[in-house]
Amino acid sequence: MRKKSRSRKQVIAERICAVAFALVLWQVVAMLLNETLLMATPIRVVKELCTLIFEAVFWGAIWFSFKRIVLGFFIALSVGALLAVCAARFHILETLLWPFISIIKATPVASFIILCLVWLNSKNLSVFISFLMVVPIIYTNVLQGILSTDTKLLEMAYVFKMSWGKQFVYIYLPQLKSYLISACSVSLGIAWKSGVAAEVIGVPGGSIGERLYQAKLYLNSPELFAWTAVIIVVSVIFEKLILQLLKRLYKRLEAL
Amino acid sequence: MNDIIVSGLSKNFDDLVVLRDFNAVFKAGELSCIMGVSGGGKTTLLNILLGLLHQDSGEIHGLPEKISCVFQEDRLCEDFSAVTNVRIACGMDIGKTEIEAQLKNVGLGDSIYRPVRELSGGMKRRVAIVRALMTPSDLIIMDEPFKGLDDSTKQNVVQFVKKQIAGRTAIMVTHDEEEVELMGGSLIKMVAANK
Ligand SMILES: Nc1ncnc2c1ncn2[C@@H]1O[C@H](COP(=O)(O)OP(=O)(O)O)[C@@H](O)[C@H]1O
Ligand SMILES: [Mg+2]
Repeated sequence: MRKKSRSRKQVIAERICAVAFALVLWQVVAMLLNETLLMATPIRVVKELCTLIFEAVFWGAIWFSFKRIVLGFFIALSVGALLAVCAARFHILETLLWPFISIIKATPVASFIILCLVWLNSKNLSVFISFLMVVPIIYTNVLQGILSTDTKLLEMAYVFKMSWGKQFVYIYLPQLKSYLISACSVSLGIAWKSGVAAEVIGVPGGSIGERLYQAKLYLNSPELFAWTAVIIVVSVIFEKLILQLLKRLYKRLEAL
Repeated sequence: MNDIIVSGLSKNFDDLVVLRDFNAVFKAGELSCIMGVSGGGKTTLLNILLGLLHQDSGEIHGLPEKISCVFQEDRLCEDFSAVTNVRIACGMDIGKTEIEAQLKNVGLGDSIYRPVRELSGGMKRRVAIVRALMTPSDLIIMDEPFKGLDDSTKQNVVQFVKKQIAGRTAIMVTHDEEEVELMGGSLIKMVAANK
C-alpha cells in the first residue's frame, strides 16, 4: 500500500535521486555507445555549455528565438481568448470556427511549416507557427471555461442588474482562472517546440533552430544536446514566469 | 407603490404540473409569507416573478422594475470578500462604511474582508441577506432566507431583516411556521398543484 502523505521535503529528495539516477544511466549508456557521434555524455554536454555561454552568438540566438516564439504566444493568447469570447456569445461563430480549429489541431506541425515557408520568409516563420499551434489550445480552454460558468450566478447578476464589466470581472474572470492556467502551461511548451521546429526547417540565420541544424549537419551531438538543454531551461523558466504573473494578477483581482 | 397581483398562474415542466391557476395579492409596503410543502412550486413562482422563468399562462400586474433577492442558494462570488459582494450588487451610491456596518450588524465581525469561500454556510447566508436588503429596490424576494442559521444567530438576523424591510414590499418563502410568526406579515398557503 502506498503511504498516503509524504512531506514536501521527501518528495524533493526523491526527485533529486531520480534525476541523479537518470544522469548516471545516461552517462553509462553514452559510454557504452562509445560516445560523441551517437550520444554525448552528460559531462561532455556540460563542458559544451560552458564554452557556449561565453560566446556572444549564443545569447544572440536565444534572444532571436525567444522574441519570436514569445510574440507568437502572446498574439495567440489574445486572439484565442477574443475568439472564445465571441464564440461563446454567438453560437454560429463557434460552429464556423470548428473545422478550422479541428484541422489545425490534427495537422502535423511539419506540414504547416513547409506550407508556410512558401508564403512567409523563414526569419519570422516561428512567430506564425507558434501562434498557429497555440491558438486552438487557448480558444478551446477559454471557450470551455466561459460555457461552464455557473448559470445561477449569471441569473443573480441579471436580477441585480450588474453591468457587463462587473460580470466580466467578478464572475467570468474567476471562473476562467484554472482554464487559463492550464491552457498557458500546456501551450507555452508547445509554442517552444513548434517554434524551434519551424526554425530547424526554415533555418533562419542566427536562431536556435539554425544552431540545432548545424549540429545535426556536422554530427556534433554534444552541441545538439547542449542546445536542447538550453531550449528546455528557457521554456521552463518562461512558463514559470507567466504562471506566476497570472497568479499575481488573480491575487490583485481578488483584493478588489 | 402598488399591490402586486398574480392571477391564474400556471407552469409545467414537461409533464410535471408545478403551478396550476395560482392566485395571490402581495400588498404594497408589506411582507407576505408563502408557505407550502417542499417541491410545491414556491421557488418556481419566485423565479417567474424575477423574470428568470416564463409562465405558461396567467398574468402578473404591478410588478416593479427593481427587484432584489435572497436566492434559495447563496449565489455569491466566492473569490471576493463579503463587502465586495454587497458593493457590486447594490451600486456605488451606497458607501463602503455603511456596508461594513451592516455586515457587522449581522455578526460577521472581522470576516468581512475574507474571501467568501472561506466563510461558513451560515455566514454566507448572512452575506446574501445583507446584499439583497442593501440593494435599493421596490420588491424584496427571499427564498428560505434563514435556512442554515443556528437559533441565536437567527433571532438576531430576523430582527435585522424586519428593520430593513419595514415599509417595503417583500415576499418571503418558508416552510417553518415559527418564522412566519417571528416575521409577522400576511400568510399565503400554497397547495401542491399536482395533488
Ligand atoms: N428547471 C426545472 N426543470 C424541471 N423541473 C423542475 C425545474 N425546476 C423545478 N422543477 C420541479 O418543480 C417542482 C417544484 O420545484 P420548486 O419550485 O423548486 O419547489 P419548492 O421551492 O416549493 O420546494 C419540483 O418537483 C422540482 O423538481
Ligand atoms: Mg424552493
